[in-house]
Amino acid sequence: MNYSHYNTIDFVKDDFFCRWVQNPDKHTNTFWQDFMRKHPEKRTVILEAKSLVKTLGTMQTTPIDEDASLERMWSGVELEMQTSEAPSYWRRFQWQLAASVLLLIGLGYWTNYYQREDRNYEIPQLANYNREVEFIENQNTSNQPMSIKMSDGSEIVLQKNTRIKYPKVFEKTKREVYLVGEAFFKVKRNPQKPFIIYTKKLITQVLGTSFTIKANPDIEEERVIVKTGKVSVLSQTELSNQNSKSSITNPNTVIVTPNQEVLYELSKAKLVKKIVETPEILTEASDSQTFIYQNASLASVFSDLEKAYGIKIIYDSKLYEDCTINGNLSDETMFDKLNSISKITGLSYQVFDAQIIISGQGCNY
Amino acid sequence: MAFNSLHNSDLEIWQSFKKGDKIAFAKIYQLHAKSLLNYGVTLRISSNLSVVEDCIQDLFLELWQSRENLADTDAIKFYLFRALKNKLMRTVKYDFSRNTDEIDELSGGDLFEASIERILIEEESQKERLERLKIAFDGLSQRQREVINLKYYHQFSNTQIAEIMELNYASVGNLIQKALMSLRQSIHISIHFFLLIFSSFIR
Repeated sequence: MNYSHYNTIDFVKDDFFCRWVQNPDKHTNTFWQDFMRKHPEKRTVILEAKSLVKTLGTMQTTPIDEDASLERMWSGVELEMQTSEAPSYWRRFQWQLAASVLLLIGLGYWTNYYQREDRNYEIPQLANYNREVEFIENQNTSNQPMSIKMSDGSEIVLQKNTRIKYPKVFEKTKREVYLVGEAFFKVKRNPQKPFIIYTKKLITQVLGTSFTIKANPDIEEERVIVKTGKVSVLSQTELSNQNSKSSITNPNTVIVTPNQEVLYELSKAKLVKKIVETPEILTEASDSQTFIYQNASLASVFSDLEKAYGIKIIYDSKLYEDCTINGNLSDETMFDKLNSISKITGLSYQVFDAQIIISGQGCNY
Repeated sequence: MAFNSLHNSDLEIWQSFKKGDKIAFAKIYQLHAKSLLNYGVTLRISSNLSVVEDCIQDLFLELWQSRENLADTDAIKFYLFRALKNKLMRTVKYDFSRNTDEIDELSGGDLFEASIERILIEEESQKERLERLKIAFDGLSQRQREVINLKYYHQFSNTQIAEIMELNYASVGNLIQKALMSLRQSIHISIHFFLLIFSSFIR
């Protein structure tokens, strides 16, 4: 390699040069010291390039609590290693230890409808519904919730007048269940076999590691509400329209995260994402946050809210640079907090597509 | 680490892990999970840290589950980076395909702190200058940030970067060049001045 015409940036880009700066060894040391001896005019350029490589080596971003992240990830991996080894131990502790999924889907419309109609209704079906597979069907006709354990370790609690159907043995690549009514899901995590719930209008897929979904059954619509964690929802019509094989890659899939809900609006036949009525502070954010402010910048208050509720707030940070907040917002709900901030600053907010958008002229002091 | 001397090369650790050696697997995690996390976060694909965490966790879960079928490697870090990149791209595809602007809109400053702030410095003026460089770095396009992070922080070769980023070899060089140019431009000073500023702390 002829380095005699290299400029600073040429050196900075060069692998062999970087190796010398980053991990010098005998070979690279000899070469570059020799090169500088032979080309004294390149000394300055080389020293510059060397500093630049080292400076650029600090360009990275670190999560605020890196160690907690590393521990969190490892605990999930470790658990999986234990399960593959010691099934009895695993079975005993899986619910305390497992990254589990709690899911409750409310289908008030269906429940009400079938109470009137008789219970002779059909389980929703997929286009690629496989008739060869042997299915198990459970129906809860009692007044008590009915709990079912599935072959993969997942647990489902069926409410009154709810029916569920699932293969005796799940397929290799996915776990699919068909549901009519209202149910609460506790899904055993298995990234290689996504858990998918088909209802008449929706396809709900469990994505994240550990979460709860709560529903507030509506009369007219199907609804999925997320408390912690993450699920994806797609409407059945979208799936059949697009003839897509996989729900998760469909561009119309809506990802629902904590404090958000997705609603299938019958009138518009589409999915609408909203913020839940009373967002709750996410468990992982709850301890450190006081919401008591003295001359706090608006940006820091918004950042606290975003972290606490997992809801994105959109605003023009330059415009509101000088706004400060004083006060105690700790006992209020998220929307109360926003109303208080509006009163203090004269700004207004709007909820749009599960995000909060701040508008107004700046602060009126 | 207690088991440092048990394995010498990447290939040896990898082969032990493939045979089901949990200590070897834990060592791979300890050696590389932090780098993977920093890479994922620096990409700033999502403001939600758990997206990156989930991907890394899934990556290691899948490694363990399919350990018997994995090919040998003598460059574990490179192997893991490539796998994580694939995973993140797949995840983000359905997560953000509808509002791609989210990718660069994220400010980053709220949820993450740049490590550069941890390093150093008593002297205020120098701190300010580093802060400016950090801001300039944050202002780079995602791919420029990625290439700078892979090359200088994670110290991959241009050939390896080409594979991780799915670019050809020449494009890696061009991308680095562009990133350096925009860094220089956005901090409004000549590269010489830029170097002078940092040469003291590099010592």
